Amino acid sequence: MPFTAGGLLGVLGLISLFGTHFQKKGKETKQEAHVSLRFHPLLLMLLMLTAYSIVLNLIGYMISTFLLMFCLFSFGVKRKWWVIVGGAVFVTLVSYLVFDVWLRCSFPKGILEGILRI
Amino acid sequence: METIHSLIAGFGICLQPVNLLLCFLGVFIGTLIGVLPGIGPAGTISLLLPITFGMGPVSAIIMLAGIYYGAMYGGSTTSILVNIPGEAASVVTCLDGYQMARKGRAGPALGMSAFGSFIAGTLAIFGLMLVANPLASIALKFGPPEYFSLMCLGLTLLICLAQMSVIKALIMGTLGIFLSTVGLDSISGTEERFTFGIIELLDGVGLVPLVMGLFGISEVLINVENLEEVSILDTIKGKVLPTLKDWKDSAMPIVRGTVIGFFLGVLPGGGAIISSFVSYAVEKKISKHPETFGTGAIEGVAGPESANNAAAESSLVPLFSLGIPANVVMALLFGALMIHGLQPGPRLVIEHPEIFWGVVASLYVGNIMLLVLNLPLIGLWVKVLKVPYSILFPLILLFCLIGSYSINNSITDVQIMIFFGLVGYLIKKFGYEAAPLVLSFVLGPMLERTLRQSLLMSGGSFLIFITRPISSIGIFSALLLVFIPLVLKALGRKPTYIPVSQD
Repeated sequence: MPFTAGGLLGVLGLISLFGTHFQKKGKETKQEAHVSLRFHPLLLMLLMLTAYSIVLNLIGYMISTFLLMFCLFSFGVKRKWWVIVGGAVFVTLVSYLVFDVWLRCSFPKGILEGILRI
Repeated sequence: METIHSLIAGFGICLQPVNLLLCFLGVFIGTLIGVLPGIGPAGTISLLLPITFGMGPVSAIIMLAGIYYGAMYGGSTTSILVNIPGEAASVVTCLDGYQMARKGRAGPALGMSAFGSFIAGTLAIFGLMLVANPLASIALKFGPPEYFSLMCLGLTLLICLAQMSVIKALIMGTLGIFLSTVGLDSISGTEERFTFGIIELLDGVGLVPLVMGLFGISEVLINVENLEEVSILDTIKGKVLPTLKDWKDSAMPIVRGTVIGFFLGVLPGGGAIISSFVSYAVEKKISKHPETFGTGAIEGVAGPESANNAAAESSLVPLFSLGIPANVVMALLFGALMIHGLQPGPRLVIEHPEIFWGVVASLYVGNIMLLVLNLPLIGLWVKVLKVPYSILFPLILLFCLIGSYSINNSITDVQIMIFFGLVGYLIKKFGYEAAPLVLSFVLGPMLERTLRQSLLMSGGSFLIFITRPISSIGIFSALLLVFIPLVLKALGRKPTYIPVSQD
């Protein structure tokens, strides 16, 4: 099955590639006309999410989520720093209480393990 | 008579306070996420799936199904008010719904959408009651070749109906099947495939991280590109209730939409999105004034909205009676039943009738709840929409991160989700659709298992798929679906594809 699926995928990819290649010049397809990749927000967002997934186990849910929320709330719009900090703290605490304390999702405690166990 | 007795027993289960509360919670969350652009029913159900682990199977399915058909109701609100479809099945509602709102007729559009959804939903439940049980009895006669051909037909239907480019849809479908082969070989149970030494991949790529990445994360990645442009307007004016003329104009579109939605929802591979487009196309085709479509014709709202709700409920038929998920959401419900130790399929309806009839009864109750919720709370939904996207998207991302982590408490799942977020972003940017990928990803293991079982039965001969009558019908229908457009193209006639947005 993997071989068949992989082979078929290769053939379909080639058909798609040659189909695009042999299209007459100047006849740009509708989809191609709309493709516009904006790398700056995309890379920044992926960087934040990947960093979060790496540090989550090391520094724990509370600190890493606060940092992520701080970055995301300040992304793209100008807000007062205390609004961003307040929002990040609020979201982190509420999500921790709902998912970890109430629904027992068991998030990593990280460096706050001693404090959160009390 | 037996059906009525079973239904009464189903109501007995559904009207238990806990189930009633969960049904309300399901339809409320469903309506809310239907209203919110950026997070659809598939993402929400996958997010809330871990919460249902502690519940009984009936309660879990009642809540999760409520989210689905609730989202079908709520999705129309943003389509009509702000021209942003809350979920993909409401894309077509934008065409005439938004135009009605611009003319100050948002009230009748929202009202007719709610009434149409209610009527279609209720009629579809009758169909579900009548069709599911006989279909389950027939399904018991199905062997691996029949299931294989049926799944082939379902996948082909999805590819032929829902896409503008057959090649792109085939690529997505094949990619889904390829991804489903990751992990331990399901037949031998010893051979590792594409795991690259990652222990978490032994069970395969998780459905929830995949779905969340492809739908939730990718939607955010696209929206944050133009954060300042995602703005919401308030365009509700006039009466909420439609006039007598609106009812006259909408009565037949609602009936036709219900029939179209029910039958397309039953077919594996059909579903709410396709049915809403087919209903719109049919209404425009048979209308005496097709030129009014796109300028605020109420038929263009009533038909598709009825169709997508009827399809949402009839898609439970193949899930319960054949054990085949008709769409991504049904695949998640399939997973939920499996998690609770139940195997969806014909035996489920016969051996656990309380689950089937409990869910059917909850659909009745849920539909009434939705009508009560949707009519008076339209004003509230508009206020929720006023939450700026710059506040909304961090919350959507956090829900996705928590949802993917909490399934196995694994960072790998989070990273898989982020990876598929990027994949989903590129898929959308380059004009592909994630739906065929997800559906074939879900059907992939079943497809492989039934193919290999069939070949074991026949001693390696592929003729088994042609010599058995039901199987041959499925295979030939699938082949016809693939080749008819190609033949038409060769003859110089343009095949009539239904335009589906890249949402």
